[in-house]
Amino acid sequence: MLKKPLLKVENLTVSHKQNGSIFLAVSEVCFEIFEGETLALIGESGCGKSSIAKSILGIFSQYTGSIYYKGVKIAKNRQKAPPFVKQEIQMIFQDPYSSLSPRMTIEEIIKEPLLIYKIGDKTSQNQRVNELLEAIGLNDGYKRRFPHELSGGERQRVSIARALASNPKLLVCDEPTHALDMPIQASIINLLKDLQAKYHLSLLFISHNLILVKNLSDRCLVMVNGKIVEQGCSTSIYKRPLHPFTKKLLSSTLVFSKKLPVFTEPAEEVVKKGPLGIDSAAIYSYIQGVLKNRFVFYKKKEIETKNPHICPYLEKCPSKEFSCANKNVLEKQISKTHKVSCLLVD
Amino acid sequence: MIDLKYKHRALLEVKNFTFSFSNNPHQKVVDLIDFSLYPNEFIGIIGESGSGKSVTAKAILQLNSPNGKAFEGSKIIYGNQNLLTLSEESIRKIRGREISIVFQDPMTYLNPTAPIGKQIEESIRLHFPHTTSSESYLKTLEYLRLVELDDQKRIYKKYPHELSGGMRQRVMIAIALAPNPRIFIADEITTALDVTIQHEILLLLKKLQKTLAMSVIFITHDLSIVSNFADRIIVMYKGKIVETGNSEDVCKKPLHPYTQALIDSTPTMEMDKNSYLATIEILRDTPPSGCPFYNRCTFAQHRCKILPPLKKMGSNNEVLCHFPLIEKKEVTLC
Repeated sequence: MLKKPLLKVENLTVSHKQNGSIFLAVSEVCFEIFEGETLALIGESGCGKSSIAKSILGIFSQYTGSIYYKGVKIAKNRQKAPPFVKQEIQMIFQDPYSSLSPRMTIEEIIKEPLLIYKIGDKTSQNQRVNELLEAIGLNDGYKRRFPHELSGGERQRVSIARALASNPKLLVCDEPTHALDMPIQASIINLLKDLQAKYHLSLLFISHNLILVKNLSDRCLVMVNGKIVEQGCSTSIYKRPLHPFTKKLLSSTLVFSKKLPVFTEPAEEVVKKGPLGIDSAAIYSYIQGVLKNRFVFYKKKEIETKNPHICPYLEKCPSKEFSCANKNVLEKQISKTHKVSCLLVD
Repeated sequence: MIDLKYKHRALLEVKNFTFSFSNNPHQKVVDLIDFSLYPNEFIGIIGESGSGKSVTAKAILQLNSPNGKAFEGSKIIYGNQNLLTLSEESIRKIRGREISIVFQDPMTYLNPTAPIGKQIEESIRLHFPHTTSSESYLKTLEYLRLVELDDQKRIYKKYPHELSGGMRQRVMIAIALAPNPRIFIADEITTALDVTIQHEILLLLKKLQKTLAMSVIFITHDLSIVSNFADRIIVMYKGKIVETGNSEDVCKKPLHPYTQALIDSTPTMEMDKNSYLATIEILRDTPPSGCPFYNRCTFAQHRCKILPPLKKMGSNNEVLCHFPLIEKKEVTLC
């Protein structure tokens, strides 16, 4: 069954000017979001996750490449985009403390998108506000309150209601639970799941919390230094991570388990002598040094300008080989839904 | 091994600690807290925001804002001294030197106009005024190596804005460790960091705790961190300690309904898109006095409107509940 993509991103490249030089935040990223699915975008801070979100919303216009929504190309200038695009893509921000205007009441905040997009008359607008407040689980008493009177979780609920007010089809969530406690995070995640089923939303969920993403998403994209290195359906990525970066992320995620791992100090390196009595550890460290110098020689920006197709994880990769520095990385199809771009994966 | 530890005298004792702020003096932010910290121990204090965990940590070093006040009878005892009543002059000899603290946001606590190395040196020179400049320089390099920053001589000259969040947090740890303290307080130091960096910093902290033989108080709201790294866990809720115990006991068989709810709301690897996380909902009104968890507890009964005493369960565990969870399971079995 072929589904039509709701949003299609093609060759998206975002660059920022930094001290005179150009820094590529995102380079040649392609992906699609289908109707009703949750796509998770995973990566370390500074890898360009938020830049992608902002270019989809049109907050950034410094990008090349094209973004299609329902087959219509979204203009870089948000003012020129068709009005339904603005209305149907909404965003929930990371920090609930700074994303709500302190001078507006909760009712005004939720009603604002309705006024901007001129949806309904006064009575239907009031009705919609009541409906939304009920959907996010806050009672009528909250209408007259100001954001500073609410807790972090309640504020994040209000910003979800504001995003939902204009009947969006795609909700971009930029780490919406990062600043919240565990039980409140759980309630926000449950709320998002409920609302997704109720309003048939597609979600683009940006996070670096892998366990949380597993609880929520259908498909995952893993990003390193502005490039997608692994993508596929969540179950297969979690079962069988292929890219070294995904493996590292998974191994360093702290999982709460009843079986407690005991902290073990790393064993001291044993000096192994080869058959000729040569200290193999010394040779190893010498090779490491040569490797390191080699990579210092190719500084990150030089690589970008010389060859944009080189592996983005080259500098930190624990299992890199000599040949990695000279070859182009191509995306390999592992299974129907799983793609990875690493030279060492067969 | 743990029994041996408890034969030591406690390093830091918090006794009957009660605290409130002057804008609302009747609301006790921290209410009658008792706990002690033993040498070479890693304890985790866990609780949601507003549960009083940071206030407790800051009170140890008198760092709370001046409109806050500890009630009469509260004591924080460190080596025969009550830290709450010490003068500013004498607390400065303890702050940083004996007990040091690192906070959540590494950028706001570093001086943006001075190089990293100078800031670590400042910490050494302040507490050991007789060190020469060459000595303190070498010591600084040593501490940079200790927090696993490569190329120390280059890092020494860098300014805070040139470093990443994880590196800044490492520098903060180096500054805190430079005077060789006996107690290290970490107030949500990994909350602002990535998963991978968080893991690295935690491993580093655990290693340093063992090599430098210091005690660590680790404050967080993430149960998965504490369950992996701490020896003992203190669970706080609305200013009260609701459960304490060895981390293994607390995680395997929690006694308080709040701890159980916290564990249920933590996402695990076994879950997928169709499973829901447990949440803590408000079920009923709060009684004027009584169990702090009464309004959200699923097991609450009439007796819970009276404040329960802190019950001792097993050798090291304590719980603030009329009906600890273990007892309940036995009843259902019968």
